[in-house]
Amino acid sequence: MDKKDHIPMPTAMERRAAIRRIAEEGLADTAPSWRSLPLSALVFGVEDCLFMAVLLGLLPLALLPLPAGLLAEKLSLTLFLSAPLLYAAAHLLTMWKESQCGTLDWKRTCRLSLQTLTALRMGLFGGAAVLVCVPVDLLLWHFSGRAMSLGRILAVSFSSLFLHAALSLICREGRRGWAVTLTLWVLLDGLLTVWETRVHFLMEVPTAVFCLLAGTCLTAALYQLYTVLRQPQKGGMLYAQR
Amino acid sequence: MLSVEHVTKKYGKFTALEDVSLTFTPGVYGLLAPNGAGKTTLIKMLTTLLFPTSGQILWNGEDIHALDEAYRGLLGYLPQEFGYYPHYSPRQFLRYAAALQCVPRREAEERIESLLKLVGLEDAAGKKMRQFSGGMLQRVGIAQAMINDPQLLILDEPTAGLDPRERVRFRNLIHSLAADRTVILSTHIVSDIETIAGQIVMFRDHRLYCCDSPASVCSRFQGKVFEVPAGAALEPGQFLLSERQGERGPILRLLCDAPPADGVPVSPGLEDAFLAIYREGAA
Repeated sequence: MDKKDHIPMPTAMERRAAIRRIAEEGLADTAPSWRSLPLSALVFGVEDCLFMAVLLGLLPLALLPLPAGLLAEKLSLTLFLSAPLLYAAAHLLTMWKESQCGTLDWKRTCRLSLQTLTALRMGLFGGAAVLVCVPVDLLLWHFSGRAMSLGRILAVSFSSLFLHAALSLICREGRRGWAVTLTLWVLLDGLLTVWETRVHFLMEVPTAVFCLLAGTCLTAALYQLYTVLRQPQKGGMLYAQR
Repeated sequence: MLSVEHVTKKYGKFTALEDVSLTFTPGVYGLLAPNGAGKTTLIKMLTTLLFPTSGQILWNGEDIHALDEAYRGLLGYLPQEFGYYPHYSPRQFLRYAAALQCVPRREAEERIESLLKLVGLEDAAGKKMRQFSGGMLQRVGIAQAMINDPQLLILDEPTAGLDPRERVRFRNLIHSLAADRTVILSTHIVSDIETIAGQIVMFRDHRLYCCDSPASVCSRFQGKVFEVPAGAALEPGQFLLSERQGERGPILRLLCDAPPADGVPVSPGLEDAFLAIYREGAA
């Protein structure tokens, strides 16, 4: 008789149970740690930054006292320039505050990587920007005499917001990625402002183009977020390489 | 067990640490070296904040960067400059730290209460941290580093800026925490680790000089430390370690191979060893 016949082998049921138990234990270890993070932890210590950013997000309302005709003329450019204000300000102010408080070093050694925390915050700021954008756009639409369709107003705002979000998420991996995003955005805004005063470029762009831009950039931003959250180890590596 | 294997760290052309190999098992390790010797660089590598230029750091045989969040989950770290949010209470801050360390909420609440008690802040748990002294903030920092019950606790210059009473309290605290974990403590203040560190790690010329017990480090200078009355001129081969006030006036502590005239041999302390090792021109 072969020696291996003396080894008590598990039955098919025992084998399946053992595989299930091992898989469960393994999966428990690899479960994304960010899922247990309470929402309050995302804004802990930076509530003042978020408050300031919301105020900046409401800045376009300063145009409401303008006559309806003048407001309608300036609407496209105003929407494009102001839509990412809340998102960009919240992101930059929180980063600045964290660096001033000196909390970055210990946060980088926490189980939840700072990269993941930043990505989650960017998702939250994006959501907050959308929530502020919609009522602001509604008010602008109403007070501009409804010269432009509400759909177009929202499309212009969201294309700008999601373009900025995608850009900042893509650039975040590089050294001083925030500065690259800011520089690119200031250049784009400057170019558009000069261009718009001459040929009303934004007025000529079809709404479908803005919708397409918004959809593409939202997909890119969500994909970037997904990548960060699915690869938490990438965050830890990034700091050490810098 | 944490192993540092032939680790070198270079910043451009500057070599901060060269070919360092160390093994850390449970107990208290004191990294003792003058400022700029590479203590913080080593600590930043141990805490995954920096990559070694060459060599590797292993936790139970696995690279710490490959372990990533699993390694950070068993690590507690108090940086040299501990950042905090002044408008929050220690309890709120520790809840936040627990969330970032992915400690389950119920477990975190129990742990926060016991840590606040351990660091003596239970009466100030609800006060805003902007009202705290340096010592109280440092105790919050310790509690933050302990929130995940780490197997590896790394403290970078934890006693800097503390008054003597706070330092004694801090030493007692570390002693109580070190029973079943590895504690790595970086300092250039000898008295901080003389009493609590089981092993002293010293660097010289950016290389590992020794990893030994305080008694062994001191024994290297046994029979070479003498006290002489102040005013005696130093002869070649004699090195002035320190000066203290004796009953009959100032007394000089010298390092030399041959006993000086009127010299009284004394047992070398860790401070003598430190000053002898890091004296100018020491080979």
